[in-house]
Amino acid sequence: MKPVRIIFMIFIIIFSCFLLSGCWNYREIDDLGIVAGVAIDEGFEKKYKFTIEVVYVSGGIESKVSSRVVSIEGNSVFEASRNAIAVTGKRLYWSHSKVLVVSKKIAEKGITKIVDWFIRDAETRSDAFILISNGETAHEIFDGVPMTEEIVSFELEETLLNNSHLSKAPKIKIWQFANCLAGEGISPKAPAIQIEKVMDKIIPIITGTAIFKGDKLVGFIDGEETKYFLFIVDEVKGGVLTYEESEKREDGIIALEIFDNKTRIKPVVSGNDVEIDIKLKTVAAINEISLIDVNFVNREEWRKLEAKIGKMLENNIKETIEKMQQQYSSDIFGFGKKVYEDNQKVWNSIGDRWDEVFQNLKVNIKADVSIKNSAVLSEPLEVRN
Amino acid sequence: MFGRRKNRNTANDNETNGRDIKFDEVVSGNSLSKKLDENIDMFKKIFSDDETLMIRRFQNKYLSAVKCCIIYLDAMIDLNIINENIIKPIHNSNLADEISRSNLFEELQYKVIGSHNIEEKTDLNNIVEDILYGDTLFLLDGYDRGLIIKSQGWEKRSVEESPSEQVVRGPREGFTESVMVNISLIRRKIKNPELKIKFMNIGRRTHTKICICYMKDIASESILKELERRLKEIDIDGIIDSGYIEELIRDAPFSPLPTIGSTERPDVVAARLLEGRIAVIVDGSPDVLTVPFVLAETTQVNEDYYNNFIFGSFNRIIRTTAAIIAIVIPSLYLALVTFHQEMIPTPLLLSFSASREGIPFPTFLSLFVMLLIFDILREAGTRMPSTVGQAVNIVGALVLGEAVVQARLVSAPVVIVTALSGILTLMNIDMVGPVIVFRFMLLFLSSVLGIYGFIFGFVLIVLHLASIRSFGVPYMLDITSVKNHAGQDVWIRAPWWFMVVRPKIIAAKNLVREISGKKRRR
Repeated sequence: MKPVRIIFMIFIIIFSCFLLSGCWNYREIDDLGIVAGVAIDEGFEKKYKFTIEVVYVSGGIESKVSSRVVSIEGNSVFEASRNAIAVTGKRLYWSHSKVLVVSKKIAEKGITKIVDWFIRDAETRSDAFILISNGETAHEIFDGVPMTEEIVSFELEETLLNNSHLSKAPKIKIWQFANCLAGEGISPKAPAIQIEKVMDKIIPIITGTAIFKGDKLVGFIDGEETKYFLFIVDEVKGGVLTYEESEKREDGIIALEIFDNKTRIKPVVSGNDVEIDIKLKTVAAINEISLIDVNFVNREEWRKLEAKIGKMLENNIKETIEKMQQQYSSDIFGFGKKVYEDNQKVWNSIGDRWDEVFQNLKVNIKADVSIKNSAVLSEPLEVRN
Repeated sequence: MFGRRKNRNTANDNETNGRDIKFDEVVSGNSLSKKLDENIDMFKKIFSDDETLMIRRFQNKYLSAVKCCIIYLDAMIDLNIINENIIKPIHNSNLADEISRSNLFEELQYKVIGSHNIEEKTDLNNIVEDILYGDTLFLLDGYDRGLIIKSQGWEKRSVEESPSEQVVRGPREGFTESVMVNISLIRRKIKNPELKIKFMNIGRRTHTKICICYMKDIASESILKELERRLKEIDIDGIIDSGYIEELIRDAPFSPLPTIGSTERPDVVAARLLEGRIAVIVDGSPDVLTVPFVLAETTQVNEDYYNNFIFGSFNRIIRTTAAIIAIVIPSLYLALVTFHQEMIPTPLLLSFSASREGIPFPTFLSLFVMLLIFDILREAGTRMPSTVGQAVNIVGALVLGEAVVQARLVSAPVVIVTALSGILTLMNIDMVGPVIVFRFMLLFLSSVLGIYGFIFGFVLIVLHLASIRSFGVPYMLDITSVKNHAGQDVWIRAPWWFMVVRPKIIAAKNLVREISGKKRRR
């Protein structure tokens, strides 16, 4: 080929790139108003009140990162987010937003519209975490004083990520929430957040779970119940299991550290009857004993303790499931989904009335706890005077 | 894309054949006559206005029929040879008794003149050429023939380590400007009659001696033939450095990538000869060319082969990554920071953002200018006397690195990216040019299209690499393959007992380097 033709072709290719490339625009990094997180409340004048935490970066040799909180109202989520330009001066940049906090009032009325914008918009990330405020308003979260980070939203994200060592709140990303919204046989849930005043300081605390039915909030369960919920959905990777030996002594407590947990949920179908089998395999270790008169070096005692803790786990899980069935009739565990995946024929016949079926669903729980060690000490600490 | 090599210079094909190159009008048409005086006049005419032309006439003491003269150029010859081996024997010995008069010319050539190299010549072109190269012409009255006596003697640089290719371990010899010394350096490494050495002269005016070296039983004949064809096609007035030859015979003449290797080290040339490559030594240039040249050779360094193979491979991986990072990092940074902020991890984004706060210039402009300044400093430092170099370094490092950030003209990451890219560029000396060209190309593409443009440019580079060949050998030879020992010497340097075969295609004629190399190590 002639060089002229080659050069011409290269130009054609380069310029067609301009037309083909979908989403691109040149913008300098310091022109962005980086959104760290957003809280959505009901507005006074308009429908929604947006409280946005914008990262404020002061440059120079000693750069400092802090945040500023802006409140805007709008009739739609998108409108509100664009209205924010008038306040912040910079165009808001959503790709690094970490948390979405929705107030209880909005969640009770229906959350679909808010989630929709986060999923649909090209710039927002659907892997941000969704939280439901258990307090009066959602925006007060950002009044809180972060302990380890400079920015509240980043600290909330950290808290959720480290929750696997605590197992007191589920971590739900927006896309997971949306999947539950749209999915059959599973109800959405989200971690709950509230503020606590400690020595005049407002501190946001994530604990418990917000229970939804459809897209409407129906109630909350506390952190302890959440732990058993997480056991069922196989998301416990750590945390503390406390066993109270109430028979022998009042303050007889054994605290175990959970090392690993595997939960298998299996629907058992007989005719048109569905039962759910839950099998847990938990590995834990004794980390704290205030029960002085038990000798655990003894194999037999060890086995007994394992069985007792298994029993306790089974009871607690059962209680949590019963609460869901009776109080909220919301299948946050996704039992229905399991049936759907496992046996579609049965699902076709019962899927339409799953709520009803769920309320009377029989759940068999078998917990197999194995205690692998008792940390550094093998025997309880003895006190001799 | 950058144009294949085409048959240029097809015109003077017959004339431009090595030693047959015609001189100026002065020489053509003339020939040696039987009369000495006529011959002397002719040479005076040919070398008119050249005051270094020396003509010394003398006779034998005993036999006056021996009237002769020697013609040479002053400053090109070793006067000892002329005095002791030519003039003295002819002048002093009693020729009247010893030799027959009927065959005086041959008698003198074989019995009297004491030189190691005497050649009888009649062709005036050849004779003039030899005189110009420092040989001495001996003429005898009554004969239209001349004797060319080797008497070259001029100052040569001694063999010393090349400053541009230094090693910690390995031979410290480097090529010099003298083609003969260079040949001796190679010969001393490969003592084998299969090492063939051929001469030719290129340059209508400079008559530069070119030498082709190759291993006859390893080197590919078709590559040799093609090399000779291209060399013969050259029709230029002068060759000052091997760079001229390189550019005149190379493939892909418009590409920034090297398609002909060049080195100042005899050990490198010897190793390449043993792999079936062909070397071209150009008189007056310490850089010896080797063909064919493939991309993998840009990251191969002689020390890789002398050190432990693990260390050698590690160094090679570093060099390879350095070249890639040097090309990629400015454009990637630009694309991420100005187009795809969502791809940067949040903490990094915040620190980038903080460092850019209050910077007046767009990122592209500051990157472009800083890279340009780095290249200016590099170019300035290359040719600067070492006493001044210090000042340039201080200005470069302090003023441009430190002060520019302090004055908030350029953000700190930009300076880091520039410095990183600039230093990594210098790690592969062969690739400095291409890396700079590709780096700016990608930078421009990234500045208008972001990652999209970056990928487009990267694909363009890879396509270009895949499309070019060096003397029929694909440029990307062995880069994507590890089968059949192909990858033994590309990304890593395999141990010597593993490298039992030579590179395919290049040494297709004689692939086996070691017989049972793997067995021996056990």
